[in-house]
Amino acid sequence: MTSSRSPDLRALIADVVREVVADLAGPAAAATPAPAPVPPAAPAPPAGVAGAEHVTAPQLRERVEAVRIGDDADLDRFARQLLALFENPKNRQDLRAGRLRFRLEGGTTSAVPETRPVQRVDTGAVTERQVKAASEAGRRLVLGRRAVLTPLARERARALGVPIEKER
Amino acid sequence: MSSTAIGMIETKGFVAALAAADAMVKAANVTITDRQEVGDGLVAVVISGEVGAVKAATEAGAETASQVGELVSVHVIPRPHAEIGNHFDVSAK
Repeated sequence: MTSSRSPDLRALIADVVREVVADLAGPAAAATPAPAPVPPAAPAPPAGVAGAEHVTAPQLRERVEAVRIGDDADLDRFARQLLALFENPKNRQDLRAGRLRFRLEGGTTSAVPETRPVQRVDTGAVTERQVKAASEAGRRLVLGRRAVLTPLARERARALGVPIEKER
Repeated sequence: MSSTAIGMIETKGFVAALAAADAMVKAANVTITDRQEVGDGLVAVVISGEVGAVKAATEAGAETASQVGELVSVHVIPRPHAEIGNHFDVSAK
C-alpha cells in the first residue's frame, strides 16, 4: 500500500473511497440495479463451502490479519484500511465470506501475571499467610509436587488474584 | 452431620498426624471424628464442625503437620452429603 504518501493525499483518497462505497451500497440497499455488491446480508452466511464454490480453488486460503487498536487514531487508521481493502473486488469477497478476518493484537491483561516474579514452594503446607505475603509482594506462586495448598489459602488466592501454578 | 463440614488431613507418619490433630482441636471449635491408618505410614485425621471452624482448623493442622513431619493432603468438604455417613465413619458425634 501507499503508506509513505502525505496524509492529505491519504485523506483525499479515503474520502473518495467512502463516497464510492456509499454510492455503491445505496442503490443496492434500495433493491434496484445492484452492479457488483449484492446486499450484505445474503453473501455473509455462506462462510466456508458455499462461498468457496464461487472462487477458483487456489484462492481459498484464509487470512487473519493482526490489528492493534490502542487509541482513536488506530481505529481511524483501521477503518481507512478496511475501506481500501473494500475497493479490491477479491478482498471484498474474502471479507464478506469470512476468509479475511482480523485479530486484535496486544492484549494487555494476559501479559500481567506472566511478568510477576515467582515464589516457589517445594514441600509442606501453603497457608493463607503465605498467599497473603505473596500478594503483597506482587509475586505468583509455583508449587512443587509435594507442596499442599490448604482450602483457606486457595480461597484467599482467588480473592486476591494471586496466580498459583502447580507442577505435576 | 447435614449442616456440619468435615475436614481431613493426611500425613506420612503417626507423629505428624497427632501433632496436626492437636493443633486442629486447639485452633477452632471442631471435634475429631475419625483416624485412619491405611498403611505405608499414611495416617488421616478427620474432623467435623462449622465450615469456618473446620477451614481454620485444617489451616493450623496443615501448618503444624508440615513442620513436624510430612503433609500429604488437606481437604475440606463444606456440606457433605448424608450418604457419605452410611459408608464412611465421618459423621459428627
